[in-house]
Amino acid sequence: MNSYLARKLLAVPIILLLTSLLIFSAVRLLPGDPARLMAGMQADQATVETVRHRLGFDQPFTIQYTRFLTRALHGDLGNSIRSQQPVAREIAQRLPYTIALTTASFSIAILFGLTFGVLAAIYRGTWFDNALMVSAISGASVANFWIALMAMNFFAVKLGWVPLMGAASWRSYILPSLTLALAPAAVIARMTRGSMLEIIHQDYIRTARAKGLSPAAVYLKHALRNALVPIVTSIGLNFAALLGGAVITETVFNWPGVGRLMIDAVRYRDYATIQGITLVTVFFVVVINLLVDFAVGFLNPRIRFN
Amino acid sequence: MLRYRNLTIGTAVIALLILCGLFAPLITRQDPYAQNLAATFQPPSAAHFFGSDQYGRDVFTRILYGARWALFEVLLSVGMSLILGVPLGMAAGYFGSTIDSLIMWSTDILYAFPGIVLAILLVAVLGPSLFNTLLAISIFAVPVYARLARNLTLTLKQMEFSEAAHALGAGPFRILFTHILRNAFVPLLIQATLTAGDVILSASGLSFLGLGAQPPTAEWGAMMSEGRNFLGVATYLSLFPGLTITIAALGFNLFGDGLRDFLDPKFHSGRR
Repeated sequence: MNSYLARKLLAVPIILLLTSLLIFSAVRLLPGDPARLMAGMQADQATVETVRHRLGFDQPFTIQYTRFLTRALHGDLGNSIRSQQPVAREIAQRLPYTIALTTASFSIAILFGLTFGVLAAIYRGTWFDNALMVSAISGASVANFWIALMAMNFFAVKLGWVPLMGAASWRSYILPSLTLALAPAAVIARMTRGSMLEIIHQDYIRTARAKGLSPAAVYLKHALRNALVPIVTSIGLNFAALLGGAVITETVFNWPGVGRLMIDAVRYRDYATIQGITLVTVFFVVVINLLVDFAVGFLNPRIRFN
Repeated sequence: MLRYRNLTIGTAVIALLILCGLFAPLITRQDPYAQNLAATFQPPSAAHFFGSDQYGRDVFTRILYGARWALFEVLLSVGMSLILGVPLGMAAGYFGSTIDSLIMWSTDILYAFPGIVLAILLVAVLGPSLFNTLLAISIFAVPVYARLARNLTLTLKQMEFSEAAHALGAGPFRILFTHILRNAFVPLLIQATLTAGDVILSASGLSFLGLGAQPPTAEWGAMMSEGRNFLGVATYLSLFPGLTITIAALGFNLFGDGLRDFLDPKFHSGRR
């Protein structure tokens, strides 16, 4: 058991090290002068040279990377080109909004996905199952920026039920979190249904039924628990997709989160900020995946002890 | 019956998409880029089925021509992921040991990444353009194909026909590219159609953010990026392109789903 968890835990720093190297080199190895990019396109030659020296771009690559890494480990991600503020501080100011939005969305997606997936499996082949699966495949195909714009137009502009933009009150969360939850909920529902259907025909489910357990006990305690491993894995993979969707949703709803900060940064070619946000995002995804691995190990002892 | 319905609807949508793309100039007489400042913001009518935009361009015409961009996105992006992912996965599956660990380790790392976020990083560095966006999307779909190709190769290299080819003196490349690839074709095709829907959604999403196709290109995401500024006054500028994106993505997803159920009996239980 310990070796499984230890192996997963050990992979985290390695993955983070490799990704930081990838992100760091992406900005430097690709065409274009990083010093000019960092200084801004309008900067004169002298400023560019100052920036080059200050950021150490005149040093060899390995020294640059070590320095970047040491600073990043101390929470220093450099300064934003646009605002001249520390990137780490800008991200820290925006992060709570993104975490709140993605947590709300993800909870909605898991709740609806699991519930509907289990129900569809129980009522397999009925109109209810068909309707749910048609909704699920449609939900997974909807362009989330489109549904977000349409919902905003209808519920905020026309009806005025919810605030149009921003994150001022709890009502501001309704539209962004629901539209963002749609696709992952659909994927989780399909996954849950498929996984449940494989379990439902097993002998031990028949035994549980035969010994007179209530349907709720059979489906939730016996079937769902065993069906949960692939579902949890897919939930973990969906988290990365959800973060990507959050960038779009935040832009549509003018949400003061990290995703919108990133799009603004791209517009201003603010590489320090883009680099910082990508690092932080990857960090979160890696941590969530680690938690998922732990959850899978907890749910399925065979994985732990193998 | 549902599975054949999926395949039928999916095929119909994709066929419609191809027909619209190919015959756009025959279906409509209007030019997708011709401005008519005397007829801006016309609501949907017989003259403009889906209305006209802020430059008086016909939205219906632009959506028809947009089908070309959508097909281009799918073909280029799926093609690039296949070309990069399949040989990597086949090499990993066939040669095993260190090569396998190395390739699978790197694709696993890539797989866990938030694709869109890294696509934005790449596009930010390379500069916003549809090609760069598609390149980024393809790179992050590589692990999907590499994993699938690896698993298929692991099974197929044990088959008698591979062993027979080996016994006849065929080298690894001949076995991989003639015998194994031919038998791996169907599962790879199913995966490609399933990814195609995601490609349309990601590419139009990034164009909507202003990172992919740039206005005035008649690409659906770029059209929405322009149309969103007039959301309250001319909802149809966003409504129709977005609806088209959703229908196109749904078509590919239904087609892939239906094709898998049709060709691969293992999935008849409805497992995703």
